[in-house]
Amino acid sequence: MDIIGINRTGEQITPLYNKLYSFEVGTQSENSEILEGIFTVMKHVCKQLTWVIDRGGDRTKLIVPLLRKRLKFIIRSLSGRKFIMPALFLSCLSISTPDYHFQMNCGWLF
Amino acid sequence: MWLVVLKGEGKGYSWYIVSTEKKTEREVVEESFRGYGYRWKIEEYHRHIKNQFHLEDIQLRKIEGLRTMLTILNIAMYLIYTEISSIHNKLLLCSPIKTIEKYRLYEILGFIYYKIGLIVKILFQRNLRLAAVTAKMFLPDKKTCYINQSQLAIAL
Repeated sequence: MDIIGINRTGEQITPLYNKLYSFEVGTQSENSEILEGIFTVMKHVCKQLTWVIDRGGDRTKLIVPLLRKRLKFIIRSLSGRKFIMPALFLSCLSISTPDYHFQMNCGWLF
Repeated sequence: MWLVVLKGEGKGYSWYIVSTEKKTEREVVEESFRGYGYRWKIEEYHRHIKNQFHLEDIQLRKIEGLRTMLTILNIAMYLIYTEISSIHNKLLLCSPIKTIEKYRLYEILGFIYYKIGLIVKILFQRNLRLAAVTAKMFLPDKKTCYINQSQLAIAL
């Protein structure tokens, strides 16, 4: 797993964290490895950063700890991901139509 | 938390789950696209390691060996991306190892890390003549510098 830093202007790239892990040599959970990496880096960098995570990072087990720590993040979501709203259970694709635009303003519950 | 949906013309949807302090829709969308756009530069970083240093051809089989190898590689990449890149103009323009072909501005301002990596790689391939010539670039010019400035000049 690699964590790479990039500054606000997008000019400076800085490798921050690297860890090779394997389920054959003791790793129990990919989620815990990712969170360990994030929290390790957080100890050493400024708190104003935004975490950008690719598809696969849109799991409840990752998002909830990030929200609890009040971290800013951008996570690309899988198309099959389901979102739960009060009395509604919708897929990403179904809420991508203009009809649901107003509802997006209300904020979504994960 | 926001859900930002992107639909490109003639292309499919992309969805971004966003947690931000930004208040308005426009700000959130701008933050999302800028942030995710930067991630593509990081993809380029990974491609750089894989292509130039042939990471996937490493034949170490034990995880301890692989970890050590990756740690050394990451320290080297850190130096290339942070320390050496700060002198990249001089390195690219003055080095006897030619990496600039057309002398256009984009060749210096773009993703220059492949070129820097190439120069460092050649220097470590026991090419002592090139290494000596390149190292000389960063020594003080005897004609123009004063005695007390020498150490500062070397500390580039």
